[in-house]
Amino acid sequence: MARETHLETTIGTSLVRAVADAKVLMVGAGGIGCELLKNLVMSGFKNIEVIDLDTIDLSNLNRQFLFQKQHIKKSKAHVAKESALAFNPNANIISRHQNIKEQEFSVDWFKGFDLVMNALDNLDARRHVNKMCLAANVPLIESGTAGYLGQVTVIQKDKTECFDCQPKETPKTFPVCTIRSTPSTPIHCIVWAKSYLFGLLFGNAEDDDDEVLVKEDSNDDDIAKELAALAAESQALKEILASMDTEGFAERVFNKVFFTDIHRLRSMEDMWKTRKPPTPLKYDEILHQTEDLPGAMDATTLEAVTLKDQRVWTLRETVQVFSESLEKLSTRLKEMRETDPEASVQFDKDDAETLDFVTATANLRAHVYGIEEKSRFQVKAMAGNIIPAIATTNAIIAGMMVMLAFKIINKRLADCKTSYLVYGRHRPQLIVSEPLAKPNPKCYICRNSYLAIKTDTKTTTVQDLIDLLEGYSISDVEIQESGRVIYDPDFDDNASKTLVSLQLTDGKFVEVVDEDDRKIILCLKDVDMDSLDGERFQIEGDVEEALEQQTQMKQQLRDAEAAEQQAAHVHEEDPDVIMTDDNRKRKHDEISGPTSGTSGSGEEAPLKKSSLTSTAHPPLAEDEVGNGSSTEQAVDVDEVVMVDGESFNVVVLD
Amino acid sequence: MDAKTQKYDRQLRLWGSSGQEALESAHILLINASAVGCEILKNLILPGIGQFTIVDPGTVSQNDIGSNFFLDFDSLGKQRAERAYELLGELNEDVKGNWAAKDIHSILKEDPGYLAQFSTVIATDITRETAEKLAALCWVGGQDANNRNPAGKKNITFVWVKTVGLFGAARIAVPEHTIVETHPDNVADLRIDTPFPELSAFAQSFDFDTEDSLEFGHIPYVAILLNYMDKWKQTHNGKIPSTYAEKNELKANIRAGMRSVDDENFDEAISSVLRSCQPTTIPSEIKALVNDPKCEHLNAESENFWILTRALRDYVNDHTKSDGLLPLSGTIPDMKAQTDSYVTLQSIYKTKAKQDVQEVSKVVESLLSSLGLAAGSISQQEIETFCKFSAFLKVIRYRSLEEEYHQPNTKQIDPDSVFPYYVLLRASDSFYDDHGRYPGEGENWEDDVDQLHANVGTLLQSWGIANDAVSKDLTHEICRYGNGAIHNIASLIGGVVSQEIIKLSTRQYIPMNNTFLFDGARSVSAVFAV
Ligand SMILES: [Zn+2]
Repeated sequence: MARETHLETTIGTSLVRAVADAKVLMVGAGGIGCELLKNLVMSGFKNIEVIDLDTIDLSNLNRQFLFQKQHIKKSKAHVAKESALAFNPNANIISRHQNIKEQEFSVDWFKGFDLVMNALDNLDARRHVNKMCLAANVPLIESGTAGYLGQVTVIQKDKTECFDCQPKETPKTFPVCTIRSTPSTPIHCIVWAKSYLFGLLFGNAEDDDDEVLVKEDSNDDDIAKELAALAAESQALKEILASMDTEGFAERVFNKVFFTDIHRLRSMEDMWKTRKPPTPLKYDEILHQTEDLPGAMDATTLEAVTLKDQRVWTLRETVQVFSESLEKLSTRLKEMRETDPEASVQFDKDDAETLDFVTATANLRAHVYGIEEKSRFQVKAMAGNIIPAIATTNAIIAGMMVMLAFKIINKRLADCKTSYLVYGRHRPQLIVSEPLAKPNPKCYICRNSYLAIKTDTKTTTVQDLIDLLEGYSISDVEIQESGRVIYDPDFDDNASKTLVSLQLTDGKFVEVVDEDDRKIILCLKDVDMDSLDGERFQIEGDVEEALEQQTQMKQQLRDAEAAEQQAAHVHEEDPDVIMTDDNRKRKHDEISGPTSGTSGSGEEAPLKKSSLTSTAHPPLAEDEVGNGSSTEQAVDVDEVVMVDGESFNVVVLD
Repeated sequence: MDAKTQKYDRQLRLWGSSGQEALESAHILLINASAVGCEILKNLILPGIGQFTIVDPGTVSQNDIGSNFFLDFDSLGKQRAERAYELLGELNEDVKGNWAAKDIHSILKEDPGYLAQFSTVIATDITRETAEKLAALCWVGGQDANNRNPAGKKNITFVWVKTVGLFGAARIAVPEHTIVETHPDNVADLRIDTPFPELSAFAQSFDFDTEDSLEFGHIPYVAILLNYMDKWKQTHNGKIPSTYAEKNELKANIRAGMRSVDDENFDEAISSVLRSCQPTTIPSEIKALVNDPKCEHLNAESENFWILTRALRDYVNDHTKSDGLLPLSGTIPDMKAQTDSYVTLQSIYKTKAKQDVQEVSKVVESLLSSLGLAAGSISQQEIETFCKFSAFLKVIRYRSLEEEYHQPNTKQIDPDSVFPYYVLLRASDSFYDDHGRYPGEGENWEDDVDQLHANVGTLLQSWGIANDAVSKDLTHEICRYGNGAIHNIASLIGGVVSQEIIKLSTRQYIPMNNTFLFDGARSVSAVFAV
């Protein structure tokens, strides 16, 4: 085995052997995933399972180096496996072109791995894997990058913070009326184009209501009336849809949306007492204008920027793009519906025609309302939630992940750290590390005790379950599943029902809370009655221990709350001091001023976690960070919060 | 949208088309196709540098295959330069590659000016002596010592990289690196403390006594701040709040003006009070820059950056034009406001920024003509960008390797974390000088521990530092690594180094200065200017 000589001398032969035996799950084969798979294979990992539901897109190729042009539209997981195998044919890699949330990937399945590594790009999947790893008690390495920033950490049940210990930013929502009637910013127009108009024209009839729109309280009479009028408006547009892909379709849609509807809105005088009323646009008038009216950008800038993608289009250009993209999308939809009558076209930021349509309609709407128009490049970022991504950052983070993997497989969790790749004008460091945080006593996800429970869900009733729990002195229970109440002392309608009739089936998490507020999560495993040796249930794990753990956790929570009140008290007394997460006091200048000196290791420059622990200590308000002149604002890259992004995401708070 | 824009979309979000253009004009030389060298190139080829060249006299060994992803089993025994060129080249068809299976010394013997064609030289697996020689050549633009032509001299960035076991290090050296687009988080410059006349007029145009609550709730917070600041000044001898108590008082005044808790615009104003109470001044770093000798002694060879900085100085010194302030950035943050008042406010700032740019442009033109340079040889676009970011300009002057070797700034290195690694790195070089091989490379690696530790002691003594600064355990560890490279560290360090090369090549963001050290065993890392 000459091939691993350097590896052996570096990490030791016993660890090299343990690495070769370890079973690793990699969730995600994108930017971080490609680097990670390469590093794992080159570091002697032999049993790797990789799962990703995505296919390869042209915009991946600037960093996802296991993919090439000929792989576009193929499965990321499969292609990544093939490319990696070319370099180490001895590795045993299983690839799955599937969603990690599918039911077959149960807690038991997760238990089959020694280590799980997340290389994901969305919050939802991260949360899911977090929960599964907690339930399966398998260590998880979590990662994320955004531009030049990145982050990597380890999650281990009861030992460290979990992914959900700190609240994450949720996507922004907008009131319906703002989007549909009274937009005032470019994003309002983009949301309208992408979430309303696009869906109405190219989506399915059922999925009309988009989650980003929040219905306002319709007690207000005027608002209720307006909502009704808007519904009628949508209905009228749907009628025009019948003539899709015929001559004059684009003009009819245009005049409906940018003339008739606007005209109606404009006639509602009350609405425009304090706002500038919108100006209706007519299709043929714009196209037949001899003079090409420029958009928001003036002529000199227009010349300076040659890329059509990066400048704001003129009004006539916009209308042209509108009709061209509408035509192409209509034809595409018609072809799709020949085989599947329910087919729809989804907005995809990397699908040029859908992006063209959204850019054009958003800008036409902006024009109507006198709102600043945006270039396609800008619209793409705003509509697609694009997070910048490059190979370099992914390489650094994937490298850190494998370092952590070595330590976890070597049973040295204590040596693991959370590391951040940072960038800041006043911060010389590139990588900053800090010890793994302890679980947040308030966490709803990891402060539970998980137990696997086997039963025949076809014959077992809720009452059977309650009886079982009573046997462990778990009484007066409340039972829930995914937020729906199955049973509580005042609601026993379901008691005699079978589990299966309540969709409490294999793989479901059943939450049980008793009178002392102890919470146990039962992971259901559906088995045949005769495999249970005459018992109705079989529990894996120690119930007494779980209950004891819950009692301790409740105590920790009470202690934490008491400490927090104490801290809040101190804070009030001394307004000139900001509480940092570790409850040390620091003066404003220390926090926001440039880091003095140029040396210092990661450990000595702790990231301010104040923003990471936003419930306990809200992120420093802009106000409190301000320092230096108005032109030289203190820049603190260390204020990172985790949100959803191309890969985890780190967003720098301003 | 063309395919190229689409392929590079996610990185254009980071450095824009100007950064991309700069990247595409880069020609990168890699000396030795080591694992870390190939990882660096991978990360530069993917985002589309213009050209790369690999120089390496060696052939592919079993160890190479174990640590280098870009050398496969089929490569065994073949030219390392050629195989790495082939496999790396597949990553991006838009990038041109070259290779030479030669030693860099013999290349330089044949063509002393060889390095002049490159923008960056990355050296891996080379001795300290060679590093010093190459760095010195890059420092003078890669020209042959006998054929120095100062006029044709350009900056070549020299990057030295090494990985040993779980340990990695990188060093950057270039005489001077200037950056306009440093990408500060926020360039908003609102001038609440010193509003220009158009801005004051805008603030006064709002009726704070209006009956209409919708209108009231949409007064832009900038106008609210200006209004309350103005009132404050009238009762405080024209001064703005300076103490914490005074700032709180101003906040309270604004809060008292709120009509309902829904007036978010007032909340926005209150949360901007502290920042707005910082007097608008010229940051000290920029003051130092405009007083730099390079600004004073312009000549026809001066970089645009220095001509522009000189223009900035002359503009700021002309108080009738500038009030002694930097050009306005012209950008404003999002705020709660009616569309038309927001657009008006935006155009007030933009117009003023444009006027400032025009004034600076006039100075630039006269400087150009006095230097005998063509009018317009610095584009309007460049002047605009320069003005917009003028509060955030940055110049880095790296120490040369020569300076470091003769007088390291050891005080810059944190004694409690990475200092021992730095010492061991240098001691390994001394060890090489003594033995012609690196520690641990011999038959029995443990035999080298004492000798390496002696080298450590000698070095520490020569720097006047106590002998216990480096533990023998660490010396032991370095010897055990036997100068071997593992892939994962090569990849991680390669990521860091390529990231810095991108910052340098695009002339955007601030690259590290000047050394990066990393130990994977202890998750310790640092950047310092030694
Ligand atoms: Zn948690």
